[in-house]
Amino acid sequence: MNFDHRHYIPCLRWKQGEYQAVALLPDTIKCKFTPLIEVPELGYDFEERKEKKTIDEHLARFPKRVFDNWGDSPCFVDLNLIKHDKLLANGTHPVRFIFDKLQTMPCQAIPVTGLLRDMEYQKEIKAVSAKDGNGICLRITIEQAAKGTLKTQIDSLLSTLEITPGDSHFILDLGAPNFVPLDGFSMAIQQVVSKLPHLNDWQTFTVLGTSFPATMAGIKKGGEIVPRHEWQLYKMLVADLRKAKLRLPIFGDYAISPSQVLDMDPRLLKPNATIKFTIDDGWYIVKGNNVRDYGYEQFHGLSEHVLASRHYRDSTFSWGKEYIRKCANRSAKRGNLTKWVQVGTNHHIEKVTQDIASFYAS
Amino acid sequence: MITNERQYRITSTQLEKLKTAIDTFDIKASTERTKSKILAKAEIEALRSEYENLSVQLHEYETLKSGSVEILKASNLEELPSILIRARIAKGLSQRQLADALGLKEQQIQRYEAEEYASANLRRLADVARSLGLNISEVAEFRPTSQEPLGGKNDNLAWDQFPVREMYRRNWFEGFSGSLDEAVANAEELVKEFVKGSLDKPVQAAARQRVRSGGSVNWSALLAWQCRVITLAKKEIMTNKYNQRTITDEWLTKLAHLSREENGPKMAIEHLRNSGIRVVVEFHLPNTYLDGAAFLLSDGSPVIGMTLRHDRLDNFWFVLFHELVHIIKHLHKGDIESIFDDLDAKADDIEQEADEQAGEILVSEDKWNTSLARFVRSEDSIRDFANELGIHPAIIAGKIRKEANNYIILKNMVGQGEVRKLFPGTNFS
Repeated sequence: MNFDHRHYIPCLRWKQGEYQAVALLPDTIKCKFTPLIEVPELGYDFEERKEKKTIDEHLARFPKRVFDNWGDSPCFVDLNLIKHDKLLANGTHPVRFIFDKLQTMPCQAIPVTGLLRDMEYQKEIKAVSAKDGNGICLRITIEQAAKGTLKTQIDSLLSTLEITPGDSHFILDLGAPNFVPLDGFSMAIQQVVSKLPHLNDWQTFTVLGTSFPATMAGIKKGGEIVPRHEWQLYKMLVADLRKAKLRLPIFGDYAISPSQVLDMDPRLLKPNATIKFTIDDGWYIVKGNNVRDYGYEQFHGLSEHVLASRHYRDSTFSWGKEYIRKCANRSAKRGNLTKWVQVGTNHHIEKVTQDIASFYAS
Repeated sequence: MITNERQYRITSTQLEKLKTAIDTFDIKASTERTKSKILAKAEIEALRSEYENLSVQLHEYETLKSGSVEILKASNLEELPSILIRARIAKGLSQRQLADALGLKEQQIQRYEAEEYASANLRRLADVARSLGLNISEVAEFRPTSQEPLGGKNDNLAWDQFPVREMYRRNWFEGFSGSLDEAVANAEELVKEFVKGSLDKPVQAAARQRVRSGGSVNWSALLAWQCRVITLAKKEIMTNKYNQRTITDEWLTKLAHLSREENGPKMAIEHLRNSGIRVVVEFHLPNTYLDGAAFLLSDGSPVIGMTLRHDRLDNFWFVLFHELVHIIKHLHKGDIESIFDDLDAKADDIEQEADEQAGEILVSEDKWNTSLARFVRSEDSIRDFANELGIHPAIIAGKIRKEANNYIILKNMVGQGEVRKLFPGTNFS
């Protein structure tokens, strides 16, 4: 894997909207980022009061969806959203199932692990790493990283996995913290980074986090700008780390999704039609009425709203941005909620790769 | 608030659905699904809270519709719109019938009620009140209670405004063995005796008091509370006299460190007492909105009164340090001699200084600025930071809640219910 801190790592829950967004990106953009792909959670059927599918059914199509939409470029694959004790009907561990299949596609998938995964999980990661030779990725939360015991824990894990820091990628996961005041948070992270074990040895080093709202409930109808604090923080952090002569991290975010899955009963939810349009330092979120009572036609009007705003006039070009223009002009369909995840995610990735290029060019 | 039959029907249906959802909620399955017991609990709590909220609304509408409500009273002008809506329902009038009576369209009344008459002018409010047959004398009673400072008229105590029944219930009239009715009948005499017994001079001059409050305070109740605290304080025999020079940084740090102890609040009170500062815990009286107070006895010795209005560890420690700062910096004989604090209210001058310094002693600004707990806000990070500072995690959790202006988060971290139980001799009901 050959990239430095000017790369981009979006964490994507690999559902239809997300993978179709990635599939439509041109190769010139695809070479600028490496997705951290999360195997989506096994959904729950609230009416039947049981999980929607068996784990076998749930995982069956995933490897092909990675290959069809991302191809054989490197990617990180994390099963953090799958329960550790869930085995397939024939007793296979999900980690083994996924990576065996990915390898035959063939995909260059790097398995992700962390400090709290159980021994079975680690055993499977070790087997995958030994077989594929793509290395592994450690995803460590900021709280874990701040503890004095981190070095011992990491060294013990690497020893279990029989792998060196040089063959491992390190992701410092901030999750969805409170980012404000940014300068204080940047200093707090710098203190943590300065104490990270093997900082200069990891194959890559990423800081991942998001300020994307956990729900759209607090967003008012019409247009509202939500700051992308993680990007503002990243720029500040790079300046602080440069001064301290510490390794610069890769920027990672959760694109246009919250970091946590909150699996609420859909019967109690009435999702609104929203367009999440990534702009400089923020998201321009245009929110309409709920789609259950007001339908999807409103997406034409919401697209008009985005198109007419000054935010649409920046220099980024993306399939997602173009779709908004077409939808406003009624030359593209109004779509459904998945389509608008695709639109938003596609534009987001294109915009962020451009942000990173401009930031390091200046 | 439900204002018409349509909303009533919708709410009833919603309530039934919620009830089914609560009855069939499987906490185990939810925990497995969300991988978190906390999230699972949050889901069921959210359902219950919504259920409770809708039930209250439904019940209120049903009660009003039943015609059993004959008297509706508002204690301030802000409540008038709500009274107008409730009075209409109680009279059995529909929004259309009221609109007809006023010569308006039904939609206009719907709008008024939906926005609680925010856009209606005074004349329109008066017309609606008249149409509903509201007693104007009731409206005339909507004046706020007097905002005179404590004992502003010196000897001329507003004794009839003292909460005599509550004072009787708490056995504050020492030596009086009569019934409640007798206490009410002899209120003037009892109150005067009560005040005289604790204050050496009739009452303090207004200029020597500071009151921080966000509500409409009953000044007589505030004075009664202070008298009670003084009475209790005077009963304490002190071995050491207060000397400001003993309050060093080290002394304050030691006090903050006591917060880690299980019996920390009691130990803190002892720590203060050893340095000549009396601390009295006495539950607040209705309409005093009081967290704590600091004042000087006639001999100049300082007293801190605490109400434990909020039964939380974070609140206890913040109030204690806040009042302590007042004692160290702001109370001087012949100048300001009493300060009463509702710490939920907006702060200015000396209040701001006390807030800032109390905060600084507990969690220094330097450390706070770059502490991970401030940003991550997780229980683990809060515990780590509290350990580093040597204080109770509740203090950090409380600070985060205040900064975020969100009192729903970290509910399990602020030591809810951990303070009052340390004071079994005090009646908090």
